[in-house]
Amino acid sequence: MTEIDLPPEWQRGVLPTAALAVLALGSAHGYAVAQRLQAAGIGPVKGGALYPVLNRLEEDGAVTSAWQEGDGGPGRKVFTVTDEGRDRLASLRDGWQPFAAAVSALLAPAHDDRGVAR
Amino acid sequence: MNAQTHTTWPTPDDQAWADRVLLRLHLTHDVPAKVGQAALSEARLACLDSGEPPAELFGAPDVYAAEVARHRVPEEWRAGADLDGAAPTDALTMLLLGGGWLICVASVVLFVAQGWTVDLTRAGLTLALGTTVASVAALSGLAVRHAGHVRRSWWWGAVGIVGLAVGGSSVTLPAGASLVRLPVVLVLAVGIGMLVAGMKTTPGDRTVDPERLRDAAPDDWFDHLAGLLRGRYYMRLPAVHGHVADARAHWADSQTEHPADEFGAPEVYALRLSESSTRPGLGRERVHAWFWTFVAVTWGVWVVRDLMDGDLGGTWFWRVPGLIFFVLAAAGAWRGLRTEETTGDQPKG
Repeated sequence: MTEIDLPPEWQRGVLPTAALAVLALGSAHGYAVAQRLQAAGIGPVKGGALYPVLNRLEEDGAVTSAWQEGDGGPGRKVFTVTDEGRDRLASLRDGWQPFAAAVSALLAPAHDDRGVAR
Repeated sequence: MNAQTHTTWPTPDDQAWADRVLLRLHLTHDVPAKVGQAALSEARLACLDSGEPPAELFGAPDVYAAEVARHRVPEEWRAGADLDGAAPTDALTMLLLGGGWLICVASVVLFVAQGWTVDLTRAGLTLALGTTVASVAALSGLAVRHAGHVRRSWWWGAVGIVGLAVGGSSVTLPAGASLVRLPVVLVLAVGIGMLVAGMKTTPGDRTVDPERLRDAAPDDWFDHLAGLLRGRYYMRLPAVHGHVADARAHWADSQTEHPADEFGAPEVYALRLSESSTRPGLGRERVHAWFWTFVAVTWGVWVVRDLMDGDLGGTWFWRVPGLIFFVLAAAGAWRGLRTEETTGDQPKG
């Protein structure tokens, strides 16, 4: 997928939702989540931005984690979506389309820079 | 500190909300006054436009203060301070203010006990020396611990214990002859001088360089991260080990040259991890609660034992108020812990 050059604040805003969506596809450790997000076109996600988000999702009960021993390397924390996390994701899905449509309407080229409809 | 907003609010409840926001911005988040006032002016306008009170529109004042700090103050600046808003560069200021305050209190006690002048005996000199060493060690230990140097803080702790032992040994020394007769005003002047010097010191630049520790060995970077999580943010050891192990595994997988490539400066990453918690101040409140309880119980046992032995004598006027102060401090710390446990001060999401 083509990588989009997103403003950092967009990525920050959407990261908890996107990470939850990625984990809903299957349990994964942090680096795998980052790779899947990049493959989905959310852009390269640094560990410094990702783990605080995953920790917050865990503290909110949306995901759980378990340590998995590495083969000769360091162990990895594997994150899994909970039922509460799936409910939250379903709710986010419902809200996303109207929200995205509203933003798209605002960004549509029918408005010029001064906000005057052409 | 003036915790009143420059903006006039329509009701006393709204004014109290705004004052509380400003107080938390200053004390908890160390947000510059101009930034806080600007945020409150905008909140006031939003309330006028909507006709809603600020508590309805922006939520609890502590939550709103945390949001303002997160969104309006650069991360690199916030990462330079601890949970109390103090930066390692403020250590000298803390030392002067803390020491000055202690000496001022001591001078008042000396004045009540002995009048305008005080005889400095060997025992008194030993007590003063021990107290000074213990106080300097306590403040320095706290400063280096909050800077993430946990091991170094234990060394200061050892120095503090030596200071306490020296001070405590003064009770076994005979009163002896007076070495010199000191005017109490002189002691008070030293305390006031230290307070003034503390207030005049210019705060250092606390902004964390994003490239900090990039030249250090990766293990040093991870050690410093662990030190910050433990020392500055009071996280429990299992949580610290978990965060560091996460970071190590991610860095190994990413195959980048240095952990800073993935995580930036350890101060900034530690701040993010702390802020990702719904209750970032919980560990600190827990330590405060147990610390003040320990001090209150120790002081209480000392006072009650001497009271029962009839040895309290003329020292009751500072030992009993001291006990009341420590008991109130412990009660306040437990109340703070309960508040943090039940509410937290970070919004969800």
